[in-house]
Amino acid sequence: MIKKDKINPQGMVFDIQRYSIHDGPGIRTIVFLKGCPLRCKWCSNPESQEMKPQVFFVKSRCIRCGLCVKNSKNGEVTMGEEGIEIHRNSINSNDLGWVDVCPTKALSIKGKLMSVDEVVDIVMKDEVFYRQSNGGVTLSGGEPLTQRDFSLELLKHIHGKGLSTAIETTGAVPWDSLLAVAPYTDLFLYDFKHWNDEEHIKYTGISNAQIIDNLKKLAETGANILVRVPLIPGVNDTEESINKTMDILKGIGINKLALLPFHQYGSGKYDSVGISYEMKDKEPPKEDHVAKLQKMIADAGFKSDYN
Amino acid sequence: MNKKLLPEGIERSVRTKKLNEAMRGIKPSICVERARLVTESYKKSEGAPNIIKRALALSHVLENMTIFIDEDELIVGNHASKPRSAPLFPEFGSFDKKELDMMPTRKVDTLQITEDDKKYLLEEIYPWWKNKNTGDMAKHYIDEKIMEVLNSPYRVFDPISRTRSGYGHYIPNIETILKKGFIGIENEAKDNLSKLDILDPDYTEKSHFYKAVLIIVDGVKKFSLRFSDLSKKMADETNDDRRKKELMIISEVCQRVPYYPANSFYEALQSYWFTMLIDYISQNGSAISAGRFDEFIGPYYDNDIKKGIIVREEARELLEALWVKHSDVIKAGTYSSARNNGGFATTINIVLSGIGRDGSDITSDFSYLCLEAESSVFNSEPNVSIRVHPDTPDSFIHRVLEILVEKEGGKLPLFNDAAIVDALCADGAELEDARDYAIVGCVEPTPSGNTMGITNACYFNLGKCLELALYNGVCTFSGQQMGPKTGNAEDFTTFEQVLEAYQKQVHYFTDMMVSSLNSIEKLHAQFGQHIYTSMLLDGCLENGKDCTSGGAKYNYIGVQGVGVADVGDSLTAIKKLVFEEKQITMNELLDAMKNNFEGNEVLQQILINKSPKYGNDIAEADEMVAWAAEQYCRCFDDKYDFRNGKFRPGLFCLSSNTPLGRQVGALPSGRLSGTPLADGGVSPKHGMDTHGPTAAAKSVAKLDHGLAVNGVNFNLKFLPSILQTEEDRQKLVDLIRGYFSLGGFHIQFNILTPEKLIDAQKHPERYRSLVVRVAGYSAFFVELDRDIQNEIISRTLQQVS
Ligand code: SF4
Repeated sequence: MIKKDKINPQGMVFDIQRYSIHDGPGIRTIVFLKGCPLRCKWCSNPESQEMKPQVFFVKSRCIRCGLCVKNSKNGEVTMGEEGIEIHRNSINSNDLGWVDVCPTKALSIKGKLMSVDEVVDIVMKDEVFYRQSNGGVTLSGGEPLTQRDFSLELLKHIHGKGLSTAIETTGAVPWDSLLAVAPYTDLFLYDFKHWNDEEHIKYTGISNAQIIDNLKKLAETGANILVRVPLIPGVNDTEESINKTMDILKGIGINKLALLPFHQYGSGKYDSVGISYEMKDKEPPKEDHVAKLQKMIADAGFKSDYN
Repeated sequence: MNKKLLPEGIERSVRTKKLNEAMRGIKPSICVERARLVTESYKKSEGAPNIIKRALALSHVLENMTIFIDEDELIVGNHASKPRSAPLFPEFGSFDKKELDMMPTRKVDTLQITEDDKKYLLEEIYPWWKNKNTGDMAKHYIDEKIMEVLNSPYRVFDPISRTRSGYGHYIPNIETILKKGFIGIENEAKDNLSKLDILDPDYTEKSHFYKAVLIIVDGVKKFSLRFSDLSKKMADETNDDRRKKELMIISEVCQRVPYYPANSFYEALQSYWFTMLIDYISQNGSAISAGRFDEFIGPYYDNDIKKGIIVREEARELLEALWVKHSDVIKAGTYSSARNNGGFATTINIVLSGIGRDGSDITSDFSYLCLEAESSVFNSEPNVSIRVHPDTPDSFIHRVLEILVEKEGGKLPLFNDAAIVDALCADGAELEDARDYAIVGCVEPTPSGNTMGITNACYFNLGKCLELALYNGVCTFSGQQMGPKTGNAEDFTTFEQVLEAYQKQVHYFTDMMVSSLNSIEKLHAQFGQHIYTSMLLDGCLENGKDCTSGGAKYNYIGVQGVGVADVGDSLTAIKKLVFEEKQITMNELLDAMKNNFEGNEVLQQILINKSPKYGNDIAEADEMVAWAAEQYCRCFDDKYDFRNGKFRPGLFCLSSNTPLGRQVGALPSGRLSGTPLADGGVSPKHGMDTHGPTAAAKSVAKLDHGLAVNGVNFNLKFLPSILQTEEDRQKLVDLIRGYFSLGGFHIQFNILTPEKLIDAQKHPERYRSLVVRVAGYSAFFVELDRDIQNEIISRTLQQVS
């Protein structure tokens, strides 16, 4: 579906979010790309995981007008007792007219093919704010480097305009993808989910070996890397776990580390895309616990800035 | 900390808390004393020229009204016979029994009144004033055809409250009083009077004016001396040593100011307060604004600090005591005007920071001290505004943002010096005067100390004009042919015809508004002279002319268009869905609107969701709003009142968008009949700006704010969590600076309180734009699961408490 055109690659974008302030220096726009090799059980962007466009349903917006039902030719959606019911197996992604007719935007499609120019046009709308704040653009996902050619072109464009570029990556991509974007990336926000490989596999579905290996190589290139650990209670939030993580990072020459405390803001989106969610009942980590770990990290000599 | 000027024995924070709690604890009430004194004086002076009558009345009030000094006050001077009570102004208009009966029970600006006082007003005071007050006389002034429109409850504009109200809405030249005292005014008036040429055709008016000035100066002098005596007496009577010393100091200060020039920081503050207060006693106008407080008080502060007379902490103690006093001034309005402005909005604006007359930054240690006072007291009065330009220190704006988060926001709007100075110059102000602008009331920039701006003369309902344009000039509520017959919308074959009809309606009513206001100004010039105000405005003493007759250096009259966002979004929907895409027919649209979308919610949702909305940085939508804004503003390009006062358009609404919304039927934007119009003049319609604050700011900046030189209002709502760290605040500072570099005049942040978020749970459609931001993720608050919303609310509660 995505054209393999290196000159004019297209990207599968599911959101472009302006005034993002927690993903790199200054005022930024995040371009969210679809597709991810991991399946973290705590993922807050479940609509990012699949590469293909997905129907997204926000129940609270639905007025049960039935327009979608009337327009669905293959029984993709029916009206039930509790409102509409989506039958995802019947969905044909080339025929989504029944989504488009929804007058309330209760139904929408996550995932749109866009050219680099189209995305650049949108992100450059905030140029005045980037220049004022030394901000720029952050690519996120999913794993943006699953769409390597598109990400590369986009980063080149933005970087070429003298704006700050950042990429949020899982590191779970071929090394040459990271190497390719490195010259145009001012900041890598590099996720590190778990130091223990078994646990890593258990919670994300894949091994951490490539991730650690890529991180080491990337550090050797002198890239600006801030490692971020999603802090998940009961998974990786013990002092021991953080210590082990820091040991690994020190061993490969990483000196910047931050924590991203688990939150439940993404939980509603699982229903919206029709995916089951295992962490519904998990509490976010306690603030004092986070603070304690952050102090530990700082005491160990890690910084957490973007520069 | 050792005090140098004040006796030891009470901490600043303790005094401020005590004064503030006492002030906040008062149940506002009506005071009839002023009405009695003014009536007495008018009765005695019957037959005298009106201007002399008015001068005598004010002097009589100043010499005889009840005065008091409350426990631990340092700055003295009361507005009426009891703290936080509203004096009455029978010379401008009366309240009928129904209004008076409603006052203690109405939901806005609730005022207690005793049965005796009610009886006294209705039987003794108001009957004497019947047909003698400006409110009653207005019927002889405003054109009958215009009155027909104004008599409808669904009128497009309503200038009638202007007939019953003093001017207010200007910035007195406090600096002159600080430097020269009222003795300076007295000397100038005497001098000018003696130099008058008896052959000057205006000799009579001019000599009356100067004589009136001299009568008032006498009253002012006696007023402050009465406080000096009272303070002395209280000092003699108290056994509390500390308070005795304080009262002695107060007595000395009131001996001198405001009649003599201020010699110290303390005298400057007291002189400022008397000068402002007396104007509020003299007239029932609101928004008499302080102007550039840090600029004119700062030098006294610096001087006393340098001389070692005072330390910073006790300067702050005095400043906070003064800050609290601003809440003493409340006015009684009719129910309808209270609804427009809401919450005892006296709106005494104080401006901090900005560039000086020479173009360089004036931010000083004293500017920061004023912010501290504001953060300690934080009442709705004074209404503190911040001027910003490229050299304003980031740290100053950071402090403002910190206070907003601490205090749950809603105050401390920021103004863009560069754009406003340019606009004022283009509007005819000299460069130095433009640089010395301050804010009147809420958002209206005018030069300081030389401008009678009448900045809030009237609101104009643009939404209603669109409704009339779609129904051939007929009001959908009453069926009255209110506007001109501009054609049945069903017959329009092009979008241009819609625009044309709308423009005709706007022109028709703006002309009416101009005419009626002109008549009202004439009425005031003849019967409502503002002599005391004129004494504080450059130009009036030189010209020997009252400000109501155009004596001041600059004269303006401000008229606000309300509903540009609703009109623009509606026009976009018509253009796109009816004429371009032909998704719906005009008939369908009008039918659905007539039924307030009942039975056709789908159509309403299509209008809301399938047509782009202003506030998202989408050219198609923004340009339409910009067009509506310009079209309204251009109506006044060549409009002047008889004082040679230029009609200045503004685009702001305070809380009038709610009552004005009640007069407008359903609109093609999907807005329901009778619901509020977009809040905050140029702000996007609530809930429609879903692309974040930078997109909203860019949309807003696409409007030409320079045309709306009387002021615009852009409100942005935030969760406090986006301002947690210094880094977050810096990003907001950069957002402000970016928006200002695009030409925006004004921005104000409303930091959402937990209560507001609970409201968002109940009315998600009003809060669609509210975004929760965390790293790598964002979501609309109203679309989160209920329990997660609750979690955010409880965390918000922690952050602000
Ligand atoms: S079209 Fe939209 S609003 Fe109507 S029933 Fe379907 S999802 Fe709900």
